[in-house]
Amino acid sequence: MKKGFIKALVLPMVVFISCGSPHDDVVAGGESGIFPDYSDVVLPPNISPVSFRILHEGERFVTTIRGDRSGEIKVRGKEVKIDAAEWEALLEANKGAALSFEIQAKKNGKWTQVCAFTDQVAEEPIDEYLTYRLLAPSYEFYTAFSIRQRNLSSGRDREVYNNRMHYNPKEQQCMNCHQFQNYHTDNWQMHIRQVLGGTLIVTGDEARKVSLKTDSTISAGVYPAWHPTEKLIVYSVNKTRQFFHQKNIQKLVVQDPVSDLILYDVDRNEVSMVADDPLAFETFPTWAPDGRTLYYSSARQPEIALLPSDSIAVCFDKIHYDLMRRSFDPDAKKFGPEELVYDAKSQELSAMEPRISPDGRYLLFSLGGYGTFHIWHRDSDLWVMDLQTGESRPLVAANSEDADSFHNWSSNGRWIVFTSRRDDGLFSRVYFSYFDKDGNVHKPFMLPCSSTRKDEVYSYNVPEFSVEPIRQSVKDLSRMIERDAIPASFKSE
Amino acid sequence: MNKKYLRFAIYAAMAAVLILKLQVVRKLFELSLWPDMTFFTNLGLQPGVALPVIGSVLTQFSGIPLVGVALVVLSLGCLTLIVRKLHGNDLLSVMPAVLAFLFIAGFDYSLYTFRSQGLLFSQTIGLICSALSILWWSRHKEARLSVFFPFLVALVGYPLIGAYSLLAVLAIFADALLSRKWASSLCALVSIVAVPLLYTHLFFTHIDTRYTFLAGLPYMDFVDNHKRFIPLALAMLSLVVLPQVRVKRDRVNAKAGWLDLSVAVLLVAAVFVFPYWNRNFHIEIAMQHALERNDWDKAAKLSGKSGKPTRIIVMYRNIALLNNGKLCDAMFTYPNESIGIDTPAQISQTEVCAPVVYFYDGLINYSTRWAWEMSMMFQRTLERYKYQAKVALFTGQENPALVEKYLQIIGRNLFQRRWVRKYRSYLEDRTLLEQDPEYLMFRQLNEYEEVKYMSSAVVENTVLNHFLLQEHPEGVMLDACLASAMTAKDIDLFWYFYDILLKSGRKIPRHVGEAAILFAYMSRNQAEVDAVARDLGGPVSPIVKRFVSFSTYASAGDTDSCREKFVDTYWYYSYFVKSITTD
Repeated sequence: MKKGFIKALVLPMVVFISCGSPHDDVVAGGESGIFPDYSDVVLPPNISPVSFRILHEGERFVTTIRGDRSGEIKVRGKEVKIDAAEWEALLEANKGAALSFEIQAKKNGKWTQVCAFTDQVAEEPIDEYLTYRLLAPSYEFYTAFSIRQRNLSSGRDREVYNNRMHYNPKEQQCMNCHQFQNYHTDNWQMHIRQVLGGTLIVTGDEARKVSLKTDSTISAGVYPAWHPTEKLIVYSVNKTRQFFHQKNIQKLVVQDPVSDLILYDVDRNEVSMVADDPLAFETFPTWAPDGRTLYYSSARQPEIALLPSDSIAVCFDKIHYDLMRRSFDPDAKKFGPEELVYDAKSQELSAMEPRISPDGRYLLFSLGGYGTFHIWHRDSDLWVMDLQTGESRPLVAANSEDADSFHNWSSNGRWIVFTSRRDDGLFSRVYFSYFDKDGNVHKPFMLPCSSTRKDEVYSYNVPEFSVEPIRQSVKDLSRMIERDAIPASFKSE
Repeated sequence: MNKKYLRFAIYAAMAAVLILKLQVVRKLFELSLWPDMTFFTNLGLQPGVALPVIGSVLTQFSGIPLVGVALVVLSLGCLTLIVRKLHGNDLLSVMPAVLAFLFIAGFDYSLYTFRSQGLLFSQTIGLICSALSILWWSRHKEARLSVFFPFLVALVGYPLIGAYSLLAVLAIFADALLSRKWASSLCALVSIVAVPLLYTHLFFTHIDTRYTFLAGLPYMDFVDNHKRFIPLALAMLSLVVLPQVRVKRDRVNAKAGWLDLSVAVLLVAAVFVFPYWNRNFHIEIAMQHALERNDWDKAAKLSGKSGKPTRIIVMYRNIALLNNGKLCDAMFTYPNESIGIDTPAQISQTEVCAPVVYFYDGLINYSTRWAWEMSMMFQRTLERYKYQAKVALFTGQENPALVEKYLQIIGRNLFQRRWVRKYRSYLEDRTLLEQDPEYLMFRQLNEYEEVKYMSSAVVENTVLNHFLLQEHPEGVMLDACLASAMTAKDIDLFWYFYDILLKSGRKIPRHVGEAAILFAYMSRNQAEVDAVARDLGGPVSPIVKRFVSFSTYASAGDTDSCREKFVDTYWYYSYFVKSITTD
């Protein structure tokens, strides 16, 4: 009875609205005219609704989303907020098919189509969780920032940890480099710097905070790489410095005047050296999925490495990193000799952050003009190397005029995530691209957000996929971080 | 004397003080921001959330400072009105408002490093909410269900007004205890302890539990500067005490009249004596405002009001003089001291002025860098966003979306429509930008080769080094280089820039002439002295004639006369201004 009554009320309204709604003599849309730009992209079948804002002028708006196979969603208003249940059903029904979007606007009493585009829905899902850092683009000082985890299917976002948990007006606390072992959250790690500093190693329900700085290593662990199966983590150890350009648009130089690689044995709480060539700067390690090869970036430039630290600073734009690898015997825990994988130096370029696809075939990396921290380099682009053929190419469809970096693969290898400053040149946002079976990358789309405002002033970085959520609460982590750091021992060869 | 008039006198005194500190009220507006809820959604909700939100909204009205003053006085009046109902018609009922006022009027350099938002109003609002809760209790404490009222206050109040709800419950506890309402006092006691703990364990799981009972208070803002927090602490205390010493009826005898008058005089005196009156602090704020309005003459004139200026005043003055083309002619006619900033708070001059000085001295990346650092370390503010927007616009290399992003944020604040319209028009039509005086000056000061590695940690050192490192300066850049060489008393670099000046054929500015003849004289090379004298127009030149007089006094060891007669010269600076402290 009640439902019938509501229908009786609603139906005439629908008829009334339909009478004044868009008709067919429409003007074809030009550029997408929406923010974020979700036009002509490949969407995962399990992604949360892609809300967007229509940038066209108009008094009223209607967006229609139609599935090739079935289903239709209509959303009214400039802010296109799609109902989660309807969206989920639409994606499910059109897995492997297309979704067409039509946006119509009423302007001066006349309805016109201002925008139309088609998105594809992939067959392959994206990993359900994405963990990232959310912070403003400050450089040395910070009061509040957090590590957060987004459920990419539901869109729910939760705080993993924030640095106000141990708030101290006189000392800052930084946290960074969260990383999971093989996309699972049984074993993962993150660093805490300054107040209560140390590296938090979570193994199952256990956690301990360790200090990886030993007398034989140049710093505590920095960029981590969990071995895919063993309780081993390779870290770079870096003496990092940063300085600021006076007027150069790139603003900031981050530099490691010294850097090496170490292996941390989690069970033994023991550190050993992997690479400590005094004439080379080794950094950004990563494992091949079989755990038998370690990839990393290395700049072997004796003419610079032998300079005093301040002179190295001045040479910041002369430092070029190549991509290297070493074989690894997990039983003996021994590394083989260094091998060149990608020669960037000879092109006067710098290749950073190697990441191997889960099938072991592709090597994804960022390539920029110089130096180590490509997130601050406007010319940084994503490249991929086919490890079967040795051929490398830029991911043209994914790259932008601005810095694209901090990339990673999903566990099925069909999605890449990266951060990009393409929207405004300063605030980095998370983007996903579909990487098809033929090795082609497709136009990227921004991490769906509840807010479609263009004035958000937070940067997202270090996006890491996982197939399950982090189990610890903020308070759990806080308690773990409060513990004293256990010093790791150094094992010499 | 009628208490109404006495109260009016106290309020008039508070209004007068705020009017005298009008620049500070405006500054608090510039250091505020229309509340941005993304901050809470992205970085977590805090207990006591209503206070910064309401405080920030009300602070927006200080964009017209007199309106801000009126609102402050009004809010203090509201507080008194409620306290009067609690305490009775006695002058002591003004006490919480006076203390809250002294808290506001006591803001010193700490205001640059406030982490709490909307402090101009937030704490008064907290006190008002507290007082209202206590008033409700005092009116209904005999009601049957009033026993649960303390719990209700804590439950509803804690998320909204934080510690102020606990203050109300504390006052209720005291009252219930004195009135032997054991159940209510027990409920209050349990509520004070349990409710905040429950909230922080079940809802506000992301806050540092050490500060559970201080939520909503500016506990991070006066860490090294406790003295400035005392009035607020006393105001809170008075809300607990005053309802317990209720005045039954108006006293009308002569003795009471004299007592009221005495109390009023004391309060008025306190209103005038205890605020932060540091001259340099107020001059700096006024100068920055003048610079931002491109009123260079006013900024320079304001600097003259400080006999012993901070380096911030000196830097602001030099910016003003550089912009009105008088830098090397007038900079030493003003005082050039290096008085430290007057506050126990751990705050550097760089934190006070870096975005401003770097912006106007052409070091734009450093300006935007410090604006961000200050935003992240302390709070995002309208002023800091304005520097971000201008830098992003002036460089012309940035994505216009970034400028637009900043303009949208600035445009959400009150009284910013004209500012946003102006800069948006520049974004849309760059030819308009090219007529902007700040942009024109920026372009001249932006003509330099980057130094690859320079620290920007101490603003004056950085600026001086930047100008001293220039190899081929021209125009205003050359003026800035000469001024820097004179300030740093770097004789070699002075001669280097002096030669460039001579080759340019420009008239030798007064202080450059003074420095040249002094440095030539110090070299004990008569040919050099003669050459400089010729550059300056020969022995008849006023500079040369005056220098002869100066050297005569100096040779005779008559330092008093040197100080007295040559205070407006570079010679005075060179001899008598020593050990400049830059931060």
